[in-house]
Amino acid sequence: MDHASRLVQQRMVNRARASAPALQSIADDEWFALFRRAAETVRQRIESGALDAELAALASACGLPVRRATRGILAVVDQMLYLDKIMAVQSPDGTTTAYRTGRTRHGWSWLPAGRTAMVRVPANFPTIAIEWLQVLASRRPTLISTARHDPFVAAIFVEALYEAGLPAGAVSICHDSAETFHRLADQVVWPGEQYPPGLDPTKLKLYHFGRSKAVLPQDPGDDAWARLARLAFQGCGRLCTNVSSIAVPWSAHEAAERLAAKFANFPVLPLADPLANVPAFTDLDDWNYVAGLVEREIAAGAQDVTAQLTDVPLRVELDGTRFLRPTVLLVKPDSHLVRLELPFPFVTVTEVPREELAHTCRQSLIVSLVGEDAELLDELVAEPSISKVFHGEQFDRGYDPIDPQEGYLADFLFQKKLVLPN
Amino acid sequence: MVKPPPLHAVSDEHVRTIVRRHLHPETGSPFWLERDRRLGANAYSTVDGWAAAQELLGFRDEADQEIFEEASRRRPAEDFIPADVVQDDDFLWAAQTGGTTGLPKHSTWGGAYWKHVRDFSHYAMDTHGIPHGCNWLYISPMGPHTIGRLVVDWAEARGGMCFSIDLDPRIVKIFGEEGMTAAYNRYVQHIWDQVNAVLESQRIGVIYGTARLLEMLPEYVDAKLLKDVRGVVHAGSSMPMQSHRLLREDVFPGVPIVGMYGSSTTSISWQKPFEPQDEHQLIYIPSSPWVTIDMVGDDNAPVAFGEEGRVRVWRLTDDQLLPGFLERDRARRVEPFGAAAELFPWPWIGDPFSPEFTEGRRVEGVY
Repeated sequence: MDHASRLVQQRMVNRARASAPALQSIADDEWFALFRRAAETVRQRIESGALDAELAALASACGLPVRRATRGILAVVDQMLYLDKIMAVQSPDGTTTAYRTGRTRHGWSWLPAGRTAMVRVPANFPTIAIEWLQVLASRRPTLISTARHDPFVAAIFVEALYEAGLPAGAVSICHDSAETFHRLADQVVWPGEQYPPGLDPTKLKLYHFGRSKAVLPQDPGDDAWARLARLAFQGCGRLCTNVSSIAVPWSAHEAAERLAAKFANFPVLPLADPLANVPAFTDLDDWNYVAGLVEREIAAGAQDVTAQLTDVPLRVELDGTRFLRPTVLLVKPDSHLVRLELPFPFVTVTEVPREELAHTCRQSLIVSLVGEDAELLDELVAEPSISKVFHGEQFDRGYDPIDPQEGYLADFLFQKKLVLPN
Repeated sequence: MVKPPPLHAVSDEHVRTIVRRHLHPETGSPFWLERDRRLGANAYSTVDGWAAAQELLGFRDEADQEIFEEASRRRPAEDFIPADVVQDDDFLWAAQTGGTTGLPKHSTWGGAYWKHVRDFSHYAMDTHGIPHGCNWLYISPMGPHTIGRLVVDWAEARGGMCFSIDLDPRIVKIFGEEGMTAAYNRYVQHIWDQVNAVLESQRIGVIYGTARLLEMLPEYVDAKLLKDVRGVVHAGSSMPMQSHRLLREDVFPGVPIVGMYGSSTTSISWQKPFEPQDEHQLIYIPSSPWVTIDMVGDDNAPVAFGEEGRVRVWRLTDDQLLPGFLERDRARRVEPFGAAAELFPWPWIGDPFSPEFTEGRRVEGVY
């Protein structure tokens, strides 16, 4: 895969700018039909085996089980089928028309806050592609900067979109670093919380920084533990919506044992195994770094409850592939791992007084309240640094792009502007 | 019709002349005489041509080359020059290597060699259509870097003035290595601020820059400031084919763009005349016999035409002897083809790149 040089990136930016009128000219029905056609193309190619080589390469480069990576792409395909609804919910009048016309019924205009937008796409899991697809669906010329390990997913969808009739230049991919995109894109959407120092923060939106948690006022019962374990393993533990920390006001040791017992149902398997759920580490430095974080915490007094239950070591090597065994770690509330998400199924469990539960959950994407506690629910809902609160039967609903995540993308991509006379 | 420079394939006579000058028992170069004694080679008497030089005089192994490299960093430059060359009336330019991979190495470019390079350079520029009578803007390292003085010489000889900027690739490398991204970005902006100031006030007809900086040019410079540019010369780092094509077709349509490959060690190799069959690959012609370049494999033998190998340099000039120096650069060994093949019938250099500045063949830094 060639890296696009700076001159090529410049040309991509120029072509993106030039494509804006064409993107605005397509009728709403046709616009979203285009995405649906592209989605069906991708689905057909996966089902026919035409993408087998790409999927194998993707799995190998990203350390993902082949079957899980494929299902991740198919999840995006499914979301593309209702992209119109995903976009409509974000517009000022609940329809997709405003993206095309800029007109609203409120007396002010709703206009793009830039001509182009760059989206950095991490290699965590293929489902992240829905982020740049939303940017493009907002009719914004889109510049994709793919992470080093995954040039594949974006290419699969972009190829299908152009075949479906996307205007030339509307979306371009620069694999790996994209310094020229950083400089010339009018807006930048960047994953996580650490972004290159050269990026202008005034044109930047950070997305999907994660750290989702669960609070359990009481022992929720066997079925809930199984569901919590599945929540931790969704997307091979690489999603921002994976539960990464559980706080309980009762025996954390008992809670950790319950969860660890469920984790034991997900062994480390070769990536080609259809039942594999545990991701590998393709980069030795990453493997050592993440393992070191856990090992240092254990040396400082944390209890590796999974190890006590299974005797499987933290570092696992299978046929030369490196894994970290899915881990439940019993930690003190002040452990820095409580506020960290690691790129494999990993959950800290900590005991916190009831009155401090909401405070413990601050700075989180999703907080799942498992069990009944109306007062705690009110506290979680009132905490501004928590993006979403899931409780009752929906505590493990996971991600749907129709939800506000860190707010809506459209809130960043568009601006309300008064133009007189309107 | 441009008159070709007096280049030719390396000959036994040329080799004998240069070797006997550097290994003359009384006036030879102190370093090479010491090495000859250490190895017991007696090259003054035994080297009678190119084949014998390669067998008896070439660097034996990496350790042998490392002794030379270390000496060239720490010993006086005169230790590598024949005494009679030091004493004659011609000038000696004190050249330094880039210095981006450690202490710079020292060597010289003597007056006679300088003239050979100048003749070849004007021939190449005339062949490519770089105009005379224009001012130049030099966007590249000056100071100890030979190319800075060369370009000033060329610009003035072609009837123009050479405007330049301050650019220190060594500090840029330090910023990159030490993760000083903000400082790196600020320095890059500083470069372009200087460039814009010159372009806004002066009549510039030819731009010289590193390939990396030329790729950044349209990002930082208003196209209106480039409308009078009639020629572009680049060197210093590898240029991807796609960038070469875009520079020719999009950024400077109709303007001659010519590349150079070289350093104070490898001298100047000029891009062959541009022809469609090049497919925008950058292919360079070494200035034989003064500098003989080949691409070799792990066995130190030339790789087949079309294959990639490590760049090996023989410098055979009055003031410097360099017997088969293995550069870090790699390149494709190209069999001469097209209109210039008959004039320059020795191996050419295809798409050279420096692995230490290249990550996945993507160039880092500004140099």
